[in-house]
Amino acid sequence: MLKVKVATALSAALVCAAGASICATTLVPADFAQMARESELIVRGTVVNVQSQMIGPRQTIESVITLSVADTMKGPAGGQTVFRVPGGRVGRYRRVMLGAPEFTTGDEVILFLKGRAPAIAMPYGLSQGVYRVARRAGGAVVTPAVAAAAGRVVRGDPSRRPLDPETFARQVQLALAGPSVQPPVRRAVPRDR
Amino acid sequence: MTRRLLHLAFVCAWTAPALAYSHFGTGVGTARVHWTETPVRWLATDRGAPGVTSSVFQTTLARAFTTWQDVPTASIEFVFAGFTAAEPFDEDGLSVIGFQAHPEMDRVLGATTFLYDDETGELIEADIFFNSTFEWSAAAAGDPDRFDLESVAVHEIGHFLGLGHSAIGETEIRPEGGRRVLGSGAVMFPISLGRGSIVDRELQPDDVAGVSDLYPDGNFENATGGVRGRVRRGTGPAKGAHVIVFNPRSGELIGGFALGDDGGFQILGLTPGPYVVRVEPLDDADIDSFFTLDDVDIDFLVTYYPRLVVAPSGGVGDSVDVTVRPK
Amino acid sequence: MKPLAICCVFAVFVVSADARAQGPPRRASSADPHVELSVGAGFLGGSSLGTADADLRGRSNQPFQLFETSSRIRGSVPLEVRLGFLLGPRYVFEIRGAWSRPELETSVTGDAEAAPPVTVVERVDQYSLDLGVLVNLRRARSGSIVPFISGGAGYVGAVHEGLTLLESGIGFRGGGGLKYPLVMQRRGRIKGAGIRADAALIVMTSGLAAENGGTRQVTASGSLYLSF
Repeated sequence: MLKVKVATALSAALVCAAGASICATTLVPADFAQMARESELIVRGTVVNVQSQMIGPRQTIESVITLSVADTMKGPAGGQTVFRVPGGRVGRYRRVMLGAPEFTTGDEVILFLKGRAPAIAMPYGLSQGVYRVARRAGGAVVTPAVAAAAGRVVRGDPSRRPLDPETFARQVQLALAGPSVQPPVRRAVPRDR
Repeated sequence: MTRRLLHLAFVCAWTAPALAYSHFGTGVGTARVHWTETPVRWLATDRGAPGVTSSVFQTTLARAFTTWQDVPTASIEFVFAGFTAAEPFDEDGLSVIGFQAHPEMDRVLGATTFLYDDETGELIEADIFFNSTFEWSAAAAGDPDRFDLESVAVHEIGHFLGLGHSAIGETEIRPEGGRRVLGSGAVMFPISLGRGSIVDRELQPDDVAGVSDLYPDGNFENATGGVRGRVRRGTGPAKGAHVIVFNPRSGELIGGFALGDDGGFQILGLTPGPYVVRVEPLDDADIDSFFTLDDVDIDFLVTYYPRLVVAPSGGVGDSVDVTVRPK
Repeated sequence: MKPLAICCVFAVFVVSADARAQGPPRRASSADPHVELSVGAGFLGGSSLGTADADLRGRSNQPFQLFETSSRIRGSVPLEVRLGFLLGPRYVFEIRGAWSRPELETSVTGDAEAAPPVTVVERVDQYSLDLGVLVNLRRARSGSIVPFISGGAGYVGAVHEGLTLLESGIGFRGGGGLKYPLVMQRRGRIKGAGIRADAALIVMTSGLAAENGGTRQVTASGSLYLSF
């Protein structure tokens, strides 16, 4: 239970609705293959439960998310897995860590999770290990795109396109099986329009 | 123990969703947050980290706060309220900045959090932690083997003010593994320039535009302008596109995102004049570090708008439609 | 201030030289024209507005070029109106106004993400209003054709597309031309009519002008004039 007095008559209301994260961390990102190798568990699934709680002697708010697993790309297979992220809502108080991903029930995601029992795993690099699956008329796509080859990461590279979940899974297997960084690939020639 | 409350006041600026998430407006829902009462009080945990004493930690933070405070077109003040045994993320009503060991977040140098009353909307505290799992330096010229505390502090304090991330930057994947920044157009770019670099102690035009838009000083709003428009791919919106505007006369490079449902964007705080408009996909990025948006479109090529777009003085120009080329 | 100083020195030199070359001044009469109005059109040359790189900042402060730009103002056809007040047979005090619609263009090249080079444009309305002096070089006349030199300084403004932004500056003009009277009469309200050709160098020091040294444009025009 938070023992915080809220100041009165000082501030204009800040009404905070769910639905948009505020993102603010300083990152030291890994490349895709490094992230795949260093993750203990790589799964695709759907969020079935988000539970926020106070933890530790200092009662910090974090959220524990339960994922119904549809596909396991690395680690022990299972019907469900649990992971945690900083932030969440307990009672009337909400803690937001800028940069931590937010999840709601029904989200379809691919997660790179790090952390071994008895600790509850967390997404690799806070948000770096979170890929979202969007179901559209033409099929499912995974974002963000995978930047795997060594060299300049060129925005708008025609050869780097959002992948369907099956192709993404093959990229993961490739990253796990291959050298630490894939050699540069010949870029696709832009299509005539 | 008497808990001293930090009187924080955040104004809830209700704007249309298309405009609420400019890179220099940390948004929660459709509200843009910023401090309305100054000076903003902050405390430092009375514990250092290897290579950085608590005293040096405080003076380094003070310099970083001053960097933002000294922006001539912005009006924001900070005051150091003392050392504390409290920690960042303690739900105690105090805005605390300190070192904490988070080995489970071994890719995160530092982070900023907000705690607020979800029923009243009142902000209770804002905290910053620096991950002591990493090696830190507060040396004037930096240390090639350690991360520069002041540079990361300037970045995190930008979030403390209410700024989001800027996507103006270029990276590469190194043959030996890992990803590094080749260049960035803002201190608020989310990826560190790496050990030893101290250049992010100084703000860039994108940062200045952001903080000035949140905390305008004097005649800033009358003396600057904005550009707005929509990014389209075919007949639909290219949501989540990154829009950069460049002033050939002043050399300013400032960015924003097309976060509206119609692909709408708006970039403010610009020196009046004609701008080159460039749109690119965030197909190299950890998009969650910038925003959370459904149906982000990354399937297009870098595209320039074929006309110069004018930012008028004291207003926003006519909307322009930028049609991007699909991959 | 340098262009202004050059124009002043030039004007003083020419006026004094011309004065020495002439005999005693002829007394003006009421039959002489006092005011001259001319309307014409011509060509205003383009000018470079400089280059600028869109640079990112590298880890040691070295620049990483995102793209580079080169801007210029294209040539255009100005319309000119002049009102001159004749201060005798030699000197004319002139008020000159001009309007044109040049294109402002910026070429974008060297994109770090290999976007193809592109030229982005905008059309501006450029106005000028200046005050100056014209000196007829009667000693150098050839038949009825009278050469002259002229100079002036004044306001230059540019209105961007959509009337969204007005930029203004100072322009300096120096040049010369030829006048050819077609009709001269001592009676009636209209004392004369003719044609004139002008050529000048215009230097803008602010507004649309490039950062260093101003923007230089060459202009040439032909006009019809009436004397009253």
